[in-house]
Amino acid sequence: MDRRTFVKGSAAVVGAATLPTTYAQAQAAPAKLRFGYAITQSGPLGPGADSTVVSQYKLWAKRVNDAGGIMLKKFNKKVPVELVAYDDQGKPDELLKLTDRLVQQDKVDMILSPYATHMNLASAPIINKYGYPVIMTTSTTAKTYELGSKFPFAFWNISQPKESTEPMSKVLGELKKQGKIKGRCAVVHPAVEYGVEMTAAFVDAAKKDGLEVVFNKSYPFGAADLQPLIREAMATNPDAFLAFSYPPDTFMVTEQAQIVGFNPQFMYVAIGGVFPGYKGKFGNKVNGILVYGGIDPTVPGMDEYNKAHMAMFNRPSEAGAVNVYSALEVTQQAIETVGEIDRKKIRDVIATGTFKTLWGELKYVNQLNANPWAVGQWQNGEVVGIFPANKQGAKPLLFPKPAWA
Amino acid sequence: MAAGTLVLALVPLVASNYVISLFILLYANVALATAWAFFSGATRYISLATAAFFGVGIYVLAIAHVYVPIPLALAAAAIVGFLVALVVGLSTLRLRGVYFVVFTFGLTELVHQIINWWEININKTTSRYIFTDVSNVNIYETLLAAALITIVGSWYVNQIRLGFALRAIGEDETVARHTGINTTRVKVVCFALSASVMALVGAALALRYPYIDANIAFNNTWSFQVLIAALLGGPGRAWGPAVGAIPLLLLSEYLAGSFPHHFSIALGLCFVVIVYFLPGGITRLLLNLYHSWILRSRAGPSGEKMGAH
Amino acid sequence: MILFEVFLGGVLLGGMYGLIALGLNLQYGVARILNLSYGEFFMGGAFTAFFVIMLWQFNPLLSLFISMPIAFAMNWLIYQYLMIPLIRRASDQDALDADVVLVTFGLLFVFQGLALVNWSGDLRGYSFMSSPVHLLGATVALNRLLAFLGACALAFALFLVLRYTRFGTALRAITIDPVAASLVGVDVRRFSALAFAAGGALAAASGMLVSTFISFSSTIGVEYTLKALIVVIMAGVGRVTGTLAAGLLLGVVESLGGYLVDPSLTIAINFGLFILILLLRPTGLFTRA
Repeated sequence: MDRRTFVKGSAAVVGAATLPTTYAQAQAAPAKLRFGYAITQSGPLGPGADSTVVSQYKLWAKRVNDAGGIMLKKFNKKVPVELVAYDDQGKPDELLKLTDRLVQQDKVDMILSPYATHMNLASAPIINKYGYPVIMTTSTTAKTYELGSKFPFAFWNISQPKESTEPMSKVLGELKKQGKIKGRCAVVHPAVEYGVEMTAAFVDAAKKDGLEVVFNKSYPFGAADLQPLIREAMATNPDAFLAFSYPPDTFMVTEQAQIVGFNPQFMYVAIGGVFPGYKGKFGNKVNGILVYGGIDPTVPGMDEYNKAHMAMFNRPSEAGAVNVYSALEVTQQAIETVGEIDRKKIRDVIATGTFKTLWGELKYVNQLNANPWAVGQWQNGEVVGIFPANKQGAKPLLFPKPAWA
Repeated sequence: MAAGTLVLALVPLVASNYVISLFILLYANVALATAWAFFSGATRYISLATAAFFGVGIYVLAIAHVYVPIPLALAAAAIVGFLVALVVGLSTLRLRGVYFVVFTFGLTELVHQIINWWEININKTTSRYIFTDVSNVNIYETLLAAALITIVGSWYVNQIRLGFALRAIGEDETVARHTGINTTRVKVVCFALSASVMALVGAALALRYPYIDANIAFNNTWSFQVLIAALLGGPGRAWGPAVGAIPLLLLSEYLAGSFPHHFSIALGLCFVVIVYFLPGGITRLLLNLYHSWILRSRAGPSGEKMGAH
Repeated sequence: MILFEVFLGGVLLGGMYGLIALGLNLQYGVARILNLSYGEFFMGGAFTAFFVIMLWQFNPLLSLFISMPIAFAMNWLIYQYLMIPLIRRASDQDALDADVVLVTFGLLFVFQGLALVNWSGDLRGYSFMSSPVHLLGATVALNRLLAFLGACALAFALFLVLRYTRFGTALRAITIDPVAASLVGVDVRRFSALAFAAGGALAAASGMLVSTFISFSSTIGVEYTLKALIVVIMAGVGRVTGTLAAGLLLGVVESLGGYLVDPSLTIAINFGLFILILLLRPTGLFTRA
């Protein structure tokens, strides 16, 4: 045998030896990565779920696929993403059954968070049982502190009641010390878990910061007229008015405060305060109103994100949605770090890593987001993050709130 | 029937969690619909209070499971449901027709609001947590038992005088009273019995929720679902609501998977179609099929009909 | 002074309750159809107003010229082609009610689903006449006042029609006894269809007026159908002119009760009053039992 034949022959043998391996690897790469979710698409909570969460799932999937997919370095291949969606009708039974279905019938690769505190909480035990890491994006409750250790696969992305209210109490305490306000706070909240917990947390903090809670009443979720309540609050002469509200009452409280000419120097509304519809309805009057959640609009990538959002939904995004999008970014980055769908490893990466997202730098400590945006404010027609004040991009508080024009 | 029960009872051994979950909801719906029709179907007093008793059951379980073992908590739920319904029943004696219907709906909302208020102002919380180790399989068996007992119970009552009294009230309450039936006692007791089943079902399902609040517990969707299932099934037979509830649930499940965004539209169209092509409900359809099958098999190869049915 | 304002607010709120229920009382009282999809037309009226002001920048009141005729036509078609076959084959009112509930429930799903697909589930709201009006020392919102005046105007118009026109007399005859009415030559089917259609148009009108001060989305239909039903039952089925009065009672008691007792109990008081009235007058406030 001459050398050329030998070389050719060896090359052929080596080629033949490696061929099955690369062939096998290319075969093993999944055709699609399936992300499943069961979320409330009907009923009273339907609107919020759509605007804040579902829109983000769809937008993210599209942008990921436009870039070719998620890179699985184990197979050295970008794999496109497919969404599998169900409506849980706002019922925990449905959510549980649909989660079973996603895991056992549809055999999805990953599961995405449902909507609203009680659904996020209902979902945690079951996704944990199945070993699917999920970042819960719409749950605010003091119970989260306990659940970290109980459900290692569940992560909690947004600000909890204490972190959401303490900074406000603190700044009000400082303003009082500076003599700018008397420290009188009026609080209202709907009779739902979120409202109750936020109020309790604020009242606790207010005590420590030397503030006086002169008014604290609740109203039924879905109340048709809040003017009497606002009048009563106004009569106590508060410097600060905080409504730990849900979207319909957020809108109503704001409108009725204007009607009766209630001009607190410090005004806070909760969920829904960041909706584009809120600004759409009230225009420039939103400036100075504090809201739950916030963003840093100067984060790199925000402009492209906003453009893509506008192109897909014909409306701008909102701060709450950016939080959801960031959870998707974390999930994607974790998958890419691990290189394949190994849910235990992905879970560990999320638990220990630091991630750059549109919502800022995210890091989870005991599965809770270490420093999420807690309080934002409308300034110059956009929502900016105010607290935590030490976060990158935090803007100073605009005080006092300009009077209703 | 016994063989069927045995088969169903053994299903969890081989089925996936999803199938078990599906069946759990199926049995719950069957039990609720049958309990509902037991009273409302016979007496024509259409009740929308299903959600109220269901919610009561959930709350009793949430409170009781901390202090007593689960089976006792379930029994407590049924008993409290019975008592609440007794009180409600005694107060609604004079209401008829659509007034009764909307009254029961208003009552559900009232209970919902009061419990919410109580929890927030007295207990300083809106929610309760239920952490139990009850397995899915146990819940499955419990609900299967509940569904079967309700159907058998309903069938049995239909054969005895109490069932006759119920139907008489449905036909013409004034006449029924004049024939000596204590309509008040019959109505209230049967209403309470059906409510106790609803409370039990609520309590059993609650074993799966880690978290409840008044909004979750008192969800009017249950009232409507049960009504629709019973109407779909058709009147007159103890197994009527079951044959209404089963396809309803399976249809919803199928549509939810195939048309997640157009689910509502497809379901609505199905209802409309069903009403036009299945008057008398599915019961009538099945009975017609059964009768024509009997007729055909009796006719023999020559095609002669041997007696009408 | 706050008490008077709360009372006035309650009056306006009550006007809203009455307004929402007017159309349903026509549909159920006259045409005897318990239309569960009623609230979907309310929602349609709200959305039409929203698009008129937000997309075209016109006065949302103009949307009534679009939403009312469409709602009228759609409801007329529903009655003619979906309800009449059911009426023909029903053996009694109970059987009819059962069928009607199923079919209109199905329609509810269809309309809601169409709205969800086309308009998404987002919460909508717009600002229209949201300025304060000072009346005798109290402040009310102009848009709520407008809705109240609209309710009064519509109720009054209905009253005039029912009392002083042949058409209205025919409707009242049908409400009392359809069989007797047909015996005296009233074309029950035709007038019932018109009443049903008018009820739908009123639903759209009430949706438009309420949308000026309450935020809404594709899924609010059911909630408003039920609110309307409560008021209809409280007034008495078929007591169209009593509907506004019943609504007012509900609104005032709810507002005053909430203010004097506890704001978190407003809805409880609302239903509590409803239940109390039914216990005392089982066929509604204004029905001669």
